[in-house]
Amino acid sequence: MAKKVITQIKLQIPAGKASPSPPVGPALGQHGVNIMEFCKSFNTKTQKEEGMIIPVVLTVYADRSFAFITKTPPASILIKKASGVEKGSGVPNKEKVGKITRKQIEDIAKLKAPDLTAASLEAAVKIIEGTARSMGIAVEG
Amino acid sequence: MQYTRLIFIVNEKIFCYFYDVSYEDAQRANMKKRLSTYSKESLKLSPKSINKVWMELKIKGPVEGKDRAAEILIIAGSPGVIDKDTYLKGYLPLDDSTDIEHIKMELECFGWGCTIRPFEDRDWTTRWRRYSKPVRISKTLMIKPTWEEVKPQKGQIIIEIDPGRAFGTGSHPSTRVCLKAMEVLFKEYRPKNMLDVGTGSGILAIAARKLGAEYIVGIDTDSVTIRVAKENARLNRIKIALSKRGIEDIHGRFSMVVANIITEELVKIAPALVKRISPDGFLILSGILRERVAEVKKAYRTFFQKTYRTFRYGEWVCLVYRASYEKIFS
Repeated sequence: MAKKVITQIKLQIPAGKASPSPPVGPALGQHGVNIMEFCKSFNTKTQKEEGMIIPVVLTVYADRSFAFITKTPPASILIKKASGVEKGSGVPNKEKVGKITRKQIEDIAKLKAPDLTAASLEAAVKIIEGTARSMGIAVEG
Repeated sequence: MQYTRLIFIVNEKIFCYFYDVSYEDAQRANMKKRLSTYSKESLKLSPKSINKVWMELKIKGPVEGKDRAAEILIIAGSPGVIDKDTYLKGYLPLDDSTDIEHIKMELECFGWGCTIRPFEDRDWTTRWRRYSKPVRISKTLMIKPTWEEVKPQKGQIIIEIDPGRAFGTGSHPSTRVCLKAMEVLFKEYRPKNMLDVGTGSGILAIAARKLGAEYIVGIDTDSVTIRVAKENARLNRIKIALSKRGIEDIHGRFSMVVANIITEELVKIAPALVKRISPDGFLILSGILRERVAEVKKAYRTFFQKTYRTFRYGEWVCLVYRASYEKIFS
């Protein structure tokens, strides 16, 4: 149909856990989006990825109908999985809590490439490296 | 630093304020002034309000730390975060379980700053509905969401559609004008069957059945909308043949072919659409802004000498072509 976009809402929500509380409730509700329908669809779609945080881009059309797409989990979570680290460092520049190889960084960059605004793979690698460093995880190799 | 939460009740309104108890005296002197400016945009809660109050954290920092910042908020108890490109917003319960100092420290570690204000939540489970109201297309045709109670008048046709994951709730002008055109043609010519191209929520197909068509085919290239359309057909207790396919996969001819889709598509699939009209049938094209009418007319000039009818609603136009008036190239 003749879709006319009125807004796009970007969110990050724990997989399978969307609920009408903030931020989902007020962010969608003020545009008259069917919140329960969104929560139900999002939770069904992501329930298998329990424990992950899922970025979502929601498009609201002029007649309050909507569509959404889910993206790859955030780099920090993928880095933690790859490096086996449970929690990032509180003082990342002083205290290192783990290591990750360049190859692992590249794999994450490739996986996340479609969702990053990086112009090239090198630029994507740089973003992932920066995330690792901010968590106190040393990049090796 | 140690933060204390102050709640003031002034004239039956509650004002929340966070302040650092280790502030210098001079800064404390400023507090009163800050509170007065803060209060204006602060919560105006009735003492009886049962709405939950949250802390809204607006956080800003270098882009490479964005995902980590979001994760910190979510682990701390925020049910999610909004990504506003230049900053993030998260929500934490306004109670003693939230160690806001620790969260701030964690964020500051990689250069993310944070501002906090109280946020009054509302019960959004049903509150979003207030924006969707019944839409009256004509004296006899009305579209309404399921939760609105309307007493049908004699001869009135009511279609129930809730806003959801498919376009076509009845509130958009391109849908309205198309329904209007359909209603007029049904009254005058009683078409027997109908093809709805880009059915979305199925609203036009459902309307066609209720207006008198016996056999209806609805197609869409999006599988989600087909599911939604099926649910809507069931909700309105009618049968429509709905499937995920393109116009090229459809055979047979229909006395009414309707397409309320984007202008580019109307132009692109013109020959395929025309092929599906029966010799005495109608083609209804909607979803056209006034300034793009000429573009659509040009694409259909090969098949029709002139438009049969034109309907307008605001800046949206709906064109009707009639096959029996023209020679159809197959």
